[in-house]
Amino acid sequence: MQQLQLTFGHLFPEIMNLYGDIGNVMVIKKRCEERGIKFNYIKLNNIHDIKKHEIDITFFGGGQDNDQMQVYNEFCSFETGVSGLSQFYKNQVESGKVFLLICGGYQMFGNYFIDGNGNRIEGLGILNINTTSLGNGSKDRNIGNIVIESTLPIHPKTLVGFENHSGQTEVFIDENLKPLGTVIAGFGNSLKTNHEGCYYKNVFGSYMHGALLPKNPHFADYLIEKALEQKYKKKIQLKALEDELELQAHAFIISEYGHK
Amino acid sequence: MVVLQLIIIYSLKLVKKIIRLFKLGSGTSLPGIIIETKFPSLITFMAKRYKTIILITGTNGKTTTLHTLTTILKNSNFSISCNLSGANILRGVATTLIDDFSLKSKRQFAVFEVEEATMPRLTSLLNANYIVITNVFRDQLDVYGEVNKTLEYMELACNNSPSAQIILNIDDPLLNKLSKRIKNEMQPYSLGRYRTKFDYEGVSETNFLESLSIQIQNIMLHSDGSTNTTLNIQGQIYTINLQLPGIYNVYNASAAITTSLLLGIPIKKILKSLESVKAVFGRGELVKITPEDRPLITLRIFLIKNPAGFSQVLQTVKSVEHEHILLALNDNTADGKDVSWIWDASIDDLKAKQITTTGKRALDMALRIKYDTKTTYSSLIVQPDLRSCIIDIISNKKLSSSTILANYTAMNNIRTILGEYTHLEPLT
Repeated sequence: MQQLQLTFGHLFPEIMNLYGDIGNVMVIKKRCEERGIKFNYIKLNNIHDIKKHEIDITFFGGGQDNDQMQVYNEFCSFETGVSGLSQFYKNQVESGKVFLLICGGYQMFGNYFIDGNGNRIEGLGILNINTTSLGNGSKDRNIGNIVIESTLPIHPKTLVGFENHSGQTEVFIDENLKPLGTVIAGFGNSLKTNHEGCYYKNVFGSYMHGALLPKNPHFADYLIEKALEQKYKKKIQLKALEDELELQAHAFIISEYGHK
Repeated sequence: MVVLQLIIIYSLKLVKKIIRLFKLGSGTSLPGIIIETKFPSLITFMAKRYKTIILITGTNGKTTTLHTLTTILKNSNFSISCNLSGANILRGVATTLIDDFSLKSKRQFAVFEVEEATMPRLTSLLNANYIVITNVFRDQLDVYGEVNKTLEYMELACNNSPSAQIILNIDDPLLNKLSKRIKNEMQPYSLGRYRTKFDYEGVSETNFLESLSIQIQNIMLHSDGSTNTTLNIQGQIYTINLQLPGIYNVYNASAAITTSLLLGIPIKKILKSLESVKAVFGRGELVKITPEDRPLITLRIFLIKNPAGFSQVLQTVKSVEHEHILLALNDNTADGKDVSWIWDASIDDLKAKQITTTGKRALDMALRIKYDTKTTYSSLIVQPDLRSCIIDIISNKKLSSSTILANYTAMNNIRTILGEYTHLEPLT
């Protein structure tokens, strides 16, 4: 039987890697390798690199406001500009490719982001979301442990993490664009709503750090499955791994911080 | 006016004595809190009594740099006021000033470790003569929001103190940036070719070379935790043996040497004092225990609190196979509630027979190890209850050593428990 492979592309790993997000890379890597799936890690430091590889999972992490400005400039330098880049990614998304977008990455795949100084940074418009920062000063941030209940077909239904963002994201929910989950404890997308993150096809956006995947191995496996199914055009059943430690850590967050 | 201020100062000193006398509490923070909230100008008043005020700030290295600098100053027979590491916010500095206030005598130096966010306010209340900035790293993002905020605090503090000389680590990309923005007189320090390379903001070879007061020629890290350093100071070569481990401590020593040279302390005196400095309070601290029915066990304790610090400690303990490594992680308020930073630290060839994780977030730390690719161990155990974990280590007769990496409140707990078995050096 041919060995399965997974190509994992990390967008701007040097700039947008502020918040332990590299832990997500480590988790996908190990969980693939434990199943004999070859894990190919590609650093996409340059926007032109994205056309050089067939990427199954694209990961885009968090950074500071001025890092996002820098990334936007990178977007603009794409051969067909931001609109060309947006179209490139839209095609990928429609064909079912997997994207994991955390915090800044999540915001930049939306329509726009207004930073703490009122500057508007255009996004790629892949997700129908708008983000506005509450303003400078750490008292105006959504910070803390967060527990959500997801509508995805994962078990357990809960996802746990830590959020830290001033951006308030408005998600224009419709039959295709759904929240990642309902907030059980914490803030989520904005102070005005009770949901966190969002997903559209196989694009998953969230504010959850922690890092996200170590304590949510069921979600990590869901992403791997979706990526392999898209790649090999067949149903994938991943061998179960020994996840006692991960699920204990997950349960700890719920019991300790899972109450409003 | 002066009389009124003296009345308030001595009343607060009295309040503290009364609290202590009637065992109503330790009374340590009350005077500081009252000054901070009601009489901040008292800080200005009390600070004026010092000939020289030195503030030490930055993400990592404040405590060790303070300890090293005060050792040098004390060995040169200067009288000093300094604060403990736990008292590095405004009320803590206020408490130190009040405790040391005396109408009969004045001390020459005030040397304070100051937490970054406190620098703007403190520098508006007193005139610092020297400000030492060790580095600006990501630390407790859940408190500070973003790294750039920390840099802003530094810039504000420098602008508040136009006549202060700034002693700063020019290898740090963000401090390099800061040096171009501030108008103060500066005295940079650098490790030259031994400098830590940062992944972000490529730093070109320092263009401050001529203005460095010390040039590092050679660094040798020994497995016993000591560091041999050869330096060129004013054209002369000196070799010293620091009892502190790691490159990060050469940085701390450089900060202290640079400052001492500016103060006019003779080079030989500085270097002799440096060699006597031992690792303090969890910064590579060596603790030896011989309880009744067991042979000697040696514990080496390191404080970890952010990615840079954690990575640096890991560099210091790598490649040697440890009998036992204990990783203790809490997420109390003083630690920072967010533990994502453990994923940003790079582990590079960490080897142990057994690794145990403990503390409130023992499970997170265990996951960090489980998913790491550069860690080797025979067993990984999770034992969240810190007290029983430490007791088990000490009771295990087959164990002769353990290397302990702990964050702030876990460190405090561990030292308290160890204090039941042996004498530990007080905080300074």
